[in-house]
Amino acid sequence: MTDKAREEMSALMDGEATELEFHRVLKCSETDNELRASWRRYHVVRSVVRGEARDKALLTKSSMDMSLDIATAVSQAIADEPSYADESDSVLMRGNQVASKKSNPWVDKVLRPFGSVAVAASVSAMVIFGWQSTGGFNSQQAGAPAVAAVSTPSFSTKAVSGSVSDTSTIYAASRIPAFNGRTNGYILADDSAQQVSRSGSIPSQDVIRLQIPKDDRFNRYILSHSGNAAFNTVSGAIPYARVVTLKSSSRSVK
Amino acid sequence: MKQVKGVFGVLVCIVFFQSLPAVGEATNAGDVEQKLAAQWLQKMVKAIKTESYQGRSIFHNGNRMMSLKVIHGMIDGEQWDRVVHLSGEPAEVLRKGDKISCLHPESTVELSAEKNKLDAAKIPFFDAFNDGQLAIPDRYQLRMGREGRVAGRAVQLINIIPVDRARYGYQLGLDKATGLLLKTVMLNRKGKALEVFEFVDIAIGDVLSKEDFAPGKGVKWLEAAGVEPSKEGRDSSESNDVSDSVVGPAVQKIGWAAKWLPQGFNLAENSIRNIDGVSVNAQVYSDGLAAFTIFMEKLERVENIEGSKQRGATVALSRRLAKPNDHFLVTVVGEVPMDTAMQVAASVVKD
Repeated sequence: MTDKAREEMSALMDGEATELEFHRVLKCSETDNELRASWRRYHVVRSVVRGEARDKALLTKSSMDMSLDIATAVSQAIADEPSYADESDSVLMRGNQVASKKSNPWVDKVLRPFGSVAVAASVSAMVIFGWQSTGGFNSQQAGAPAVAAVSTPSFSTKAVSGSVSDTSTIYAASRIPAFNGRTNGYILADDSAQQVSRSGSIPSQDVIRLQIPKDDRFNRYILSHSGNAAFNTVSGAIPYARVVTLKSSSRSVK
Repeated sequence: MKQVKGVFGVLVCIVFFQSLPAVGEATNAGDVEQKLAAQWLQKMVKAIKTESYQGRSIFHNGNRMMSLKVIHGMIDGEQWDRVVHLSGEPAEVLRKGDKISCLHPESTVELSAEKNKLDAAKIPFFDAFNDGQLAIPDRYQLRMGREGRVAGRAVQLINIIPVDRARYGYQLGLDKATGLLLKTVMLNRKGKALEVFEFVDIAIGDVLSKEDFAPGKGVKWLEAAGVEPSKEGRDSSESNDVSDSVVGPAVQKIGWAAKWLPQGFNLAENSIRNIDGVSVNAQVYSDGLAAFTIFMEKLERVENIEGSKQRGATVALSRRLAKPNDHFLVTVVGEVPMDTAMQVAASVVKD
């Protein structure tokens, strides 16, 4: 591992890497074992420093057991995934099924890539989620184990590689609509979907981009909260300024 | 070198955590500064209860700017505020003691502070100041800023820096003469201003009467539902008046709890409200400077109404509980980073 690679990785951890550096680190990490090891080590150090490492037993083991071994976890999850044989309501799945049975060259060519897209999407979704939430807080994590896993979602190997039906952690991850930085419009994983979409791999066709369905509802909640903020903080007149205007068109009181 | 920077960051963290136990000693120069800043904040809280003023201010939330008329005074021993939105849609907010009314062209929304004292814990910092004690919030660091000028008056800037990522930072501008809050900037972790509130003109010390708090034209004023029937001859059931007050105990309480809360946030209020005709359980958490509310609502039918929204420093986030409780909708609204709201929402479980 070169100093440059180390530097770029460090920048990535600090959230200061440029797009170019980000891709270079990703590329390097494909081949550079040392880099991957450092990546993990740094995160272990960081978790400890921030007091996120809840399970002391984990710390005494080798660092391999610590969280963020996403690649292994994902491979494991994919391996554990039930075969698509039971599913019949998705075109993609039927396609894969056909492909795997007949190994039709046309299907292979056209539909396989979709399959890999789904897997790739699921991996990146997890990476992004894991990344966003690495900033866990010094928290009061005294809840049940499952809840603790949710509250600081740096995926522990155990949680991710658990059987597919054990979806508590992953489910939460895929069900919280991702905030994509815009004021409205978000990615929603359709959770009425089948087991597959709930197991953390969000098939790309299940990711729908929607407008906020009930702007009105949100506004009422925001309004109700403004009062709370005014009564319970020392923030002066700001809460009154934040008050949203309810449009007459969106009134639904009857 | 970025690597050095990263390692340095870790070192700073370590040094910081090690220095935490030393906070009690006043020998530290930082402590003296904290105390000084805390005295300013105390002066601010006191000033709100003693001074009266009227002025105009601007409010900018990142993509929209608006101008406001702000009137504040003590009437009958209660804190009264009247904030008139001068730009955009007409709206007024009236606060009379424990009651806030939001007046819009066609409707009135009542918000009242019904503190459930049994459930509510002490709000750090906020309660202490109200009790006349000096307090340094434990999840923030206070720093004396430079001196500046706001609305033509000399102000002392106070920087309030969060010690974790769960909340935002503040820069407050306090009037040097009275301690009144003349400027507030909310900052995210990167130092970007999310919201700016600043007086452009203020007259302090005028004696105000109740007439000064009478709502102006362009907004509808309903004292309470049905008391003032609307001229169109509609009966009260069709009234536009929306009461967001606490409803009786007849409404069933949904047993639920947030299993994760950012440190320093305490329960300030736990009530059942009627929002838009739906009874909603609301829990308010505050760390003295920031607040968020968790709303829990039972849906009539299972529908996909999840999503998130951010405006200025306010985020709103809805998510349904995991099956089999997926007909319960959790909404977190507050002036906290999206990550905090997400983690709180994700930790909510039904009993």
